[in-house]
Amino acid sequence: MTEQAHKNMPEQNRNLKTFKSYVIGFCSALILTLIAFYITSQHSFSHGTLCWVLLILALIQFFVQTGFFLRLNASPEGRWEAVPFAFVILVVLVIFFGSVWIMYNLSYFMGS
Amino acid sequence: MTTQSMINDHHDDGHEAHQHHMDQIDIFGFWIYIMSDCLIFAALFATFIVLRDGTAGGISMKDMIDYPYTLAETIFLLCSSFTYGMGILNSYHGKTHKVMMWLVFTIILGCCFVGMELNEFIGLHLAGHGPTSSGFLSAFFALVGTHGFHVTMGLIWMIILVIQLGIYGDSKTMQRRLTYLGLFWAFLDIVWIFVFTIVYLMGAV
Repeated sequence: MTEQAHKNMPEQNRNLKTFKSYVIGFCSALILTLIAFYITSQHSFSHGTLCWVLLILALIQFFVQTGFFLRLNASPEGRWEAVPFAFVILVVLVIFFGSVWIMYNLSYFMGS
Repeated sequence: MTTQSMINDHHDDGHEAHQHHMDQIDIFGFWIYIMSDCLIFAALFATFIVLRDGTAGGISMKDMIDYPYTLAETIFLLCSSFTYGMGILNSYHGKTHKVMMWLVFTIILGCCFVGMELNEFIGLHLAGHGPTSSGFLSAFFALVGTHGFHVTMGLIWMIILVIQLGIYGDSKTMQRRLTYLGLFWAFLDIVWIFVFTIVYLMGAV
């Protein structure tokens, strides 16, 4: 019985969050946020570069928070959640970039 | 170990495994809800980007950005994610009072966030920049307001959980409820990353 309980431990713990992961996630998210606000308020780069840098910082923070706060991963147990997640990201990208693409083309051809 | 107790043990194991499996399915269901919520936000973000320059001669984000104010909001929300995580960690060890304490911290931080956002909205409205003033402001209020509404609902939910923890103590059921709200709360923080980047910072450059 104890042996079995012991054997089950790591499997149950895999999904559990740890203090370390929260601290790492929190500190890196905080640093990324501060960098984003700092470079924007100081106008450190030209307009185009700044937009790209902000987008990259947001994407890094997105992965940091999904990784350390949501604990989403590709392990066999986490796959049930990762597959709908990947699908939703695809749909979100289609909705977002599709709308923006169409509307900018529309506004271009309408000459406004 | 008698045969009877062995049978009982075996039965309990099976029951627990079954229960664990059911919990996983429930959490998966809640995950699907969160994923569908993503689509609402995707549509609102797309709307915002399209209407961003439609200021109708009124104010744009360049005029209304206040870096320290938005940064403070962001940090309140980020800290609330962290304190909620501390609550979850304590619930693993069955420390009910500590869980309640961390949840109360989270509620206070969340209220600061919602309060600041409401203050910003009311200030804009009183200055004559309400949601009906321009396409930009409509999209702004719709997107940021929807996020704020989600956070408000999360706070009400959290208050109910604190009360339930006080009445029932920590149990498997409460732990599952804490997991649901934890997913929801982390999701809201992730959406806010894109709100402050796309709406506030990119609008201001």
